[in-house]
Amino acid sequence: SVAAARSSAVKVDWGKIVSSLGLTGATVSSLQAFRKRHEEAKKNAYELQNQPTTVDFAHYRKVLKNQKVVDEIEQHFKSFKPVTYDVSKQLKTIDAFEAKAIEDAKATEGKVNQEIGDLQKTLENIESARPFDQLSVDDVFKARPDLEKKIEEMVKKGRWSVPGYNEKFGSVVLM
Amino acid sequence: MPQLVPFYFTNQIFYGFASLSVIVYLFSIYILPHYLEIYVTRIFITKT
Repeated sequence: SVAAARSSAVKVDWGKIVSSLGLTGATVSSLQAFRKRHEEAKKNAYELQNQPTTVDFAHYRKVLKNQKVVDEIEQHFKSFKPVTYDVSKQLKTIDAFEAKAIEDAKATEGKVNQEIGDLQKTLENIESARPFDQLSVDDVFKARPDLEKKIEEMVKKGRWSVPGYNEKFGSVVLM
Repeated sequence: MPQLVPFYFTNQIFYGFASLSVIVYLFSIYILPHYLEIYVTRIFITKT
């Protein structure tokens, strides 16, 4: 599965991700940071793989007088065993993280689509709206049904005037 | 002038009150609320 993961990682076309998804801002910068991390890890792995892992002990036996040191080092070298890491747990975590990320992304997509629909509706409303001076009382009531109730209340209380109206629109009282 | 002739006083008082009540009713139910609606919506749709 490591080899499969590596081959799939090699296939990632970073430029295409940014351009095709139309990413901007923090998403792009974090993606770039992740890409840098990926490149560095790849470079590290490559360098470590290219380092020599064999020692020519016969050559050192010829060159050095102290054969004991060479023997000791050879023994150490032969008995050295690289530490093995069990990465299956980490891979499992990554898989779980990926599933969660995909789920989140899908939820976000749904939300964004819904928002786009709402905005589209709002835009249509704005575009088809009449100017204020062509609005009728019924239009305003349709938009704000609570106004009608408020007016009923005012009528019941016998309040026939609106505070601030004369200051705004001028008084029509003659005497 | 018939309004000063006592014979017509009852008639005048009756129809005076009758038309006054009709006018009060019409104003309170139809005309004044209609203007109140216009005033409130005007205040509502303007900002400054």
